Amino acid sequence: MGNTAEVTVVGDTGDGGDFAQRRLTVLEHLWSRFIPTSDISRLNMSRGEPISVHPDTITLVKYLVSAHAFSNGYFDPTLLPTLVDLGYGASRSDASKSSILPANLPSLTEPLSRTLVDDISNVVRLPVGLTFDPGGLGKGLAADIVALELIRRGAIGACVNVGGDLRCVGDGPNDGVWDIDIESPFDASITIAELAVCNGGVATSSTRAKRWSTRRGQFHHVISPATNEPLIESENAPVQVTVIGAEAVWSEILATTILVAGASEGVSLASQSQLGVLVVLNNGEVIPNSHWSEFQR
Amino acid sequence: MMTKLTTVTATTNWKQVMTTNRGTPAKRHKHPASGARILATGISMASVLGLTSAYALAAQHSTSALASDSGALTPEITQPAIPIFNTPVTAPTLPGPATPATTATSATPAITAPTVTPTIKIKTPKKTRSATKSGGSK
Repeated sequence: MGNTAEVTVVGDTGDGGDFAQRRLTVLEHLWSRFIPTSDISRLNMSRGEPISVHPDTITLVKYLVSAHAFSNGYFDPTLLPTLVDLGYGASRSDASKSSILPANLPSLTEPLSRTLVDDISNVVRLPVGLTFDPGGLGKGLAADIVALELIRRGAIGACVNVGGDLRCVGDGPNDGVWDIDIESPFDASITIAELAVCNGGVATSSTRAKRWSTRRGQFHHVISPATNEPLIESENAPVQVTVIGAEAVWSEILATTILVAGASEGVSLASQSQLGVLVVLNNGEVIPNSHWSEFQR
Repeated sequence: MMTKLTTVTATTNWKQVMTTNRGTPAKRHKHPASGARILATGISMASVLGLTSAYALAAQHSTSALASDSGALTPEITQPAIPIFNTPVTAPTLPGPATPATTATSATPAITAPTVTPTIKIKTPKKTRSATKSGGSK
């Protein structure tokens, strides 16, 4: 996942911090597109052959497929070849690591929905030509998994933040509450909102993150499935979306969906599930939905 | 009640973990005792693999989709014998609302949530709060 993780544990669990670090490292080994032996790299190289994977990867694959369907295709985890072609092939935390993709990737003949899973023997079969990039969904799911496991190990409260996607469970350190600040997309030192949460997941997606220079100008990592190009950063388009829901994984899925679909259609989808949303437009305008105020300090 | 707060910041770095396995191979010894040790190691590894398989079976029966509490790495087998693909490929959960602070603190008198949409102004963070940040820098 190539990100910095921050873990806060409330209550004496002994090795809670060490456990979280080890667990996140395992998930990194399973889900990184930059590690040749990861489950994701092995699936991406499988050319339609069934592959044995870790049970956590089975869960990840289920979320990747469901996210695409739930978002009406706006959240598309199959755009890795496009992302690599556009110049995001190497890890940003270690440039010596590159995405693992087969040479001469065959054309996609089946849709993502034809992904097959056997969760008795932990086997996944991807359609020929299909590859996965877990992206932010993997970070959100990792935060959910580790936070819940810390509670199961005896913590009173736990908050796991993986690169801005975070999950808070149990008692927070501030009178039992978790305080969460939302950064401005234009200046990370500026806080644009303060949240008070007891149990939930918060995720932020932005076109200002993970940018690189090309001969065609500056690119960013949020790709439109309709155009196979980075989202156009028009004045009235969202530049950053923060979503708060029960789980970090769904918050991340909806944040990216709103970024891609646009504020109107995307926020409607999130509001149907009573998720809080804060959209920042490129012109600086900040727009909360009706559920956001429930969490505002 | 005594509580302990632990904050750990860590980068998920594969290289740091793997470098310990890349030493120069030791020269082989043909003493029978070494053979016995190798055999014992083989039995030990088989036991570990057995436990890993048992874990895999137990994990798929877990009721919580997010609860597979294991440090086990990916199984080495890449070509399963006879997979049976009858598992619905649907996420174990659906999106739902988080729990706001006002709902969960039962000792606090009920507070009516404001009905008007708040006006949000850009402001600098308070220095006294211990807050976790969510931003687009990922």
